[in-house]
Amino acid sequence: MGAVLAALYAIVAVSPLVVLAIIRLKGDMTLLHETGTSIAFAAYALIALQPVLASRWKWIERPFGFDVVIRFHQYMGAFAVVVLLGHPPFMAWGGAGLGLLTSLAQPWYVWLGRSVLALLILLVLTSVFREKLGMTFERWRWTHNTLAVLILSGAFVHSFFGGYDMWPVPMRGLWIALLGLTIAAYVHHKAIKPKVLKRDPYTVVGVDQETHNVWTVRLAPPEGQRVYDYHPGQFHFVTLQRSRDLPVEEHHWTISSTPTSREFICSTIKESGDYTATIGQTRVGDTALVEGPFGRFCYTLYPEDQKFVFIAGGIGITPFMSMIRHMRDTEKETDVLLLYANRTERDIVFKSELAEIESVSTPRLKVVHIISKPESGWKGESGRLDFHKLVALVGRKKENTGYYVCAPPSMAYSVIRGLRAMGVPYTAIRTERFAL
Amino acid sequence: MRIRKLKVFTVFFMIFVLLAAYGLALLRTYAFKPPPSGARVTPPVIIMESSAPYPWT
Repeated sequence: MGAVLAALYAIVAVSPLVVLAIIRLKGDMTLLHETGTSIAFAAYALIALQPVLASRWKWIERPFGFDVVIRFHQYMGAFAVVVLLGHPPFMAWGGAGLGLLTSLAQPWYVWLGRSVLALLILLVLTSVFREKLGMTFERWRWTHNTLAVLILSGAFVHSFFGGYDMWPVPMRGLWIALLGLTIAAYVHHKAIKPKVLKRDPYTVVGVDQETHNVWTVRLAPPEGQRVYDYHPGQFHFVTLQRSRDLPVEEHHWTISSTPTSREFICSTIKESGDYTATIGQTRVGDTALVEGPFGRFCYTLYPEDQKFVFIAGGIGITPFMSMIRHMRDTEKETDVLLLYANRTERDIVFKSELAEIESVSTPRLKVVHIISKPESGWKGESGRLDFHKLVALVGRKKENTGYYVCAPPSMAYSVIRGLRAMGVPYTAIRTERFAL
Repeated sequence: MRIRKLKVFTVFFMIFVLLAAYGLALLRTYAFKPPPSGARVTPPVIIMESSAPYPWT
């Protein structure tokens, strides 16, 4: 399915080039000018496909994983900008004249093209440097969506009216079809899906404090319905609708419960920002819009893994908790080594439940806590989970073993490097990396 | 692994798109013949003003 989707994407991306080749539309300028035109057509198709990638269609996400799709969306946005930066100079030096770049006295569609390019650069810069610019996620998302609409409509008008290549009916038809695809993805994501989610909101049935700054929010589906199907380790998007002047924002959280319990679904959330700092103020009876599941960080999706090494850092324990609970409930006969790194002992989440599962026979779980800043009296592992500690705790590379890593980016990066240095192949390392 | 695959795919895909664009430019510059009527392909404003007939419309 993934290969089919990738091929389909590639076909749509070059569809303007294919149509122009089929209708054998002769160019009227130099090779450089025609190259400038061709790359712009391909770039427009890529831009038109961007909302499709970002619209969280599950049939697109499922074969690749949400992080891969979003990362590809980012890569393609940057690629389209780089390609489009070549569009005006290629055309100018290819025969249109340097005035295309420098002159103020240009037709309206040239000015529109210039504006679209400037907005596109702005969009990419705000996406790449969001944190450095101090933009909150919500503000960035609003900016991103607004710029995307302006860019897509501007690029459509510029290309539709700015060149003779659009004169043939097949090209006009293709352009309108691409615009339709873009609008369909946007409307589905921004209008239809929220409406559907609002029709059947979940209800908060429990808010439990796990540690000094970690909370578990338990959500129940609408009456008469069951929790949606998901794999242990997946995540969902949740919009808590709380009164009391608390912010209403959509956030993605890992599901910490197991699909074996169908009455409710849980997310365990750390207070790590302005919004999550209010998570403890969530009350039973509040409602929530829940969209999911997403992600491929699930042991059930890798049947080749017979044994497991789980490496968690801080709140990265949540997908492992979902998987370990699932293994316990399904009595999975397997060996699981969990390396769980935290700053202090009081930061350890699910400590007692992990100890309980360790005492049962399925799965055969061994938990190793690693504390980077231990208080006096700590008898377990201490310090950072560096390469030497990893080798000492994991031992030699094992066959049929899946190595799962969920941790803050710097720790995940160093752990994966350590695993690679130990001889663990990429194909046995599972991780999920994304930032929205 | 998935991210690694993605990076490899992305690089090949970008090369594919650029080659396709350059290939079309080559075809349009050197291989394709002008319309049978012999009319030059002109900018749309002039086309619209002159209502010149084109075989592909």
